[in-house]
Amino acid sequence: MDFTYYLQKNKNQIINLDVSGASGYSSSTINAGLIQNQGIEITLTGQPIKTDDFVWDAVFNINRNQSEVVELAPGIDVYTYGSTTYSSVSSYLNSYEGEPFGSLIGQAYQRDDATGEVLLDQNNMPLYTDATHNFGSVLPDFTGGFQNTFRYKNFNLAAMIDFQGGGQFFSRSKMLGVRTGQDPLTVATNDRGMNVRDPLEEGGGVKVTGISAETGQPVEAYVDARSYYRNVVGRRIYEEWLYDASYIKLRELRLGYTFGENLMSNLPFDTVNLALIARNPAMIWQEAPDGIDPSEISTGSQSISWYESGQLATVRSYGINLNITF
Amino acid sequence: MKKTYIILFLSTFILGSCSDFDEDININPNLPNQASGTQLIANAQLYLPGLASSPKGEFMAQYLAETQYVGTSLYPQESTSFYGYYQGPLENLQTVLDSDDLSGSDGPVANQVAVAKILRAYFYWNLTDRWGDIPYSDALMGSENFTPKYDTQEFIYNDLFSELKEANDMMVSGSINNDIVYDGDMSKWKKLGNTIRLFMALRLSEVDEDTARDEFNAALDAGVFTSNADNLVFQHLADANNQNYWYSQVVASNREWWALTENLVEEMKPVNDPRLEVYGDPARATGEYVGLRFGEEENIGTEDYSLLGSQIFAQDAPVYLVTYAQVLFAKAEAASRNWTTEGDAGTFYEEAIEASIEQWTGSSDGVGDLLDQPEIAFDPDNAIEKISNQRWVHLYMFGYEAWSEWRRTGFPNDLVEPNGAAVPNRLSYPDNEVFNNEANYEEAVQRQFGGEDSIYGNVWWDE
Repeated sequence: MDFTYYLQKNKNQIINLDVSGASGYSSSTINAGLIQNQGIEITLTGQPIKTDDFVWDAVFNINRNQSEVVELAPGIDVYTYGSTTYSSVSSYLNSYEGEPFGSLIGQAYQRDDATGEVLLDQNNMPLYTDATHNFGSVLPDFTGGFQNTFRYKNFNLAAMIDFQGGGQFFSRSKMLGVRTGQDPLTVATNDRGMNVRDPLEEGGGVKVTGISAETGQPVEAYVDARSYYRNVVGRRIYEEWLYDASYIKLRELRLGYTFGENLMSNLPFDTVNLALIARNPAMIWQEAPDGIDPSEISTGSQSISWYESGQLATVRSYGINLNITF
Repeated sequence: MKKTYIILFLSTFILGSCSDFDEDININPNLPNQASGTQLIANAQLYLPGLASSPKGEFMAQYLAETQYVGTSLYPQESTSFYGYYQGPLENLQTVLDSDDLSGSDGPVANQVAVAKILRAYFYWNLTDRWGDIPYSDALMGSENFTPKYDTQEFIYNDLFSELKEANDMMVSGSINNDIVYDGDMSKWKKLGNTIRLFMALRLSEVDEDTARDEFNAALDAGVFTSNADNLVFQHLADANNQNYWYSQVVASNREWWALTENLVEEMKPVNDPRLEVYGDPARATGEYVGLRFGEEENIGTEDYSLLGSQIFAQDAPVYLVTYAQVLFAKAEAASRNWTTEGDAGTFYEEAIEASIEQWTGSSDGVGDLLDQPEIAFDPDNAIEKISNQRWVHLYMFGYEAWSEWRRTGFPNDLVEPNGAAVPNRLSYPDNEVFNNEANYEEAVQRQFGGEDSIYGNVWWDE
């Protein structure tokens, strides 16, 4: 068993700080800040079973990191690491002094203070905030891996599992799918038994519940699906398209066979190993909806992944590996 | 042994060659890092058409309705950034004004400064009318102030009046170079500065009539536009680098996304307004002019409605920003408000319509017939309404300006409220000001709108 505890302080980093455009400038490159990371890494290594014919090796590791932006620059308590805008609606990855690095900022539902219910306008459409709502850090609570290797006589089987707990991301693919009417949600059947796309007077429409901002009274109503999804929820309410990034994934599976020395004696090789390999064979469990792979999110060239936009499907590949030692 | 020689040889080559270059190697000749004052002014002028050519502006005045992806025209609560204006034209103009080594070889320095002042005032005026209080006296200071405070609209108006007066007073004889708007003609710049002052004065008619009247008359005395030849027009060119925004949308991107509104067509078609055939095309299905109801979301076919006219989306179309017809409408309004004693409101009104038709169609054909229509004929008892409605027809495709006049006068009074959403009273501030300039942003929102940065807050002159 390995156990590591670390405390890392990064001081005076080069930061590209966004500034008010009314200054005539867009950003200022400064040396500033103190960002602290502390965490633990635990690795357990074991051999639960060992006989002459059968060996099971297992390695399990888990890491937990906690970051904190201790300070930025004098007079500055927020640093915009990245931003993205679509149809004039923006969201940001900000870091605030005294908080963990990397908070996702965007438009949320406006909610009633007392009940937490969504506030609705006079057309029963949800009201939303400016792109200033803090949804919290995008970074995971813990990550890790679990690697098992089994050997039975000349066969060996290796399975590698990755996992992550916590973290979140914003999915533009999902948002645009709904906004443009490509997502199954937009052809759902409502609780009146009609397609949400059907006219309201014929029993169609999306059911919304909430509180009227005008009267303060609870509202339960049906609204036109296209207006609801295209102009409000699928365009402006990023809260709806935030997903938990937790997952457990079988990253690689490898089945090998080592040819015995008796077979090799008349060949000029020491060992020959032939293996079948499958990469990304299965997502065992994920919190986010199917179709989006939380283990493969990448946000352009940014080192923190906080949104996905038209993510390519993860490739599952199979291979044969021949390993010869002289 | 041989390897060693090669390494030695290479090392000599690498080490020896560094000093053979001087600092010029780091200067990219294709990326100039210095510009003369008039080049900076020219670059700022390139942003002028953007003040008008904007779907959002056309929706504010309900000139155009969306034929698909109906969304922006439903007046959503959303923030609109003003950063581009500060970082682009205003920064350029401020650099000219802050410079202490403007070159006289581009024309008299005083004239370069005067033109920069007029353009800066014009951009700031547009910004404050859209958002309300904005960064002004602290703005454009670069690294000296990354968190500029917001000045009140009243302060900005008063300061712009004196800036424009100063510009008028400082001009000397002699033209300037690189002027893509007036080709260096200072007499036109002089009239433009005073005309902007005239329109700004009129904007204060409801909030501070004394200042409005005084500034209005002072601007008139200093000399405003006297014909369409004086107009501030941005002339696009028939090449891809200098083309009209609407060309890039309608032709280059093949977007039939906008139709003339029912409001506009119904104002013009019954009186046989000769400008209508410039503003739009007849619907392809019927050959008739048919406007689309603003905010309509269902069953919109582009065959059935009048789309933008070919002169509006031509690649080299002009964009009209400050015009003589507006001066005549302003004079008509001033006469009916008894701000001036010279001239008659009805006469100015008719001249304004004539100037507008000449501007848009290139001829005065049909002016007489139009003025004979009872709906158009001047009515002293409803002077402001008549003037405002016709000014709205004239300001076609500069929706933001028409929207300001709508906010001031309340006319035209039949604008549509899509899904019950009233026409906004302002634009909401850029949402990243909350991160980048929080204290000043909060203060401005609190001061003007009681804490809510809404599109329904009233700017100072619209109280």
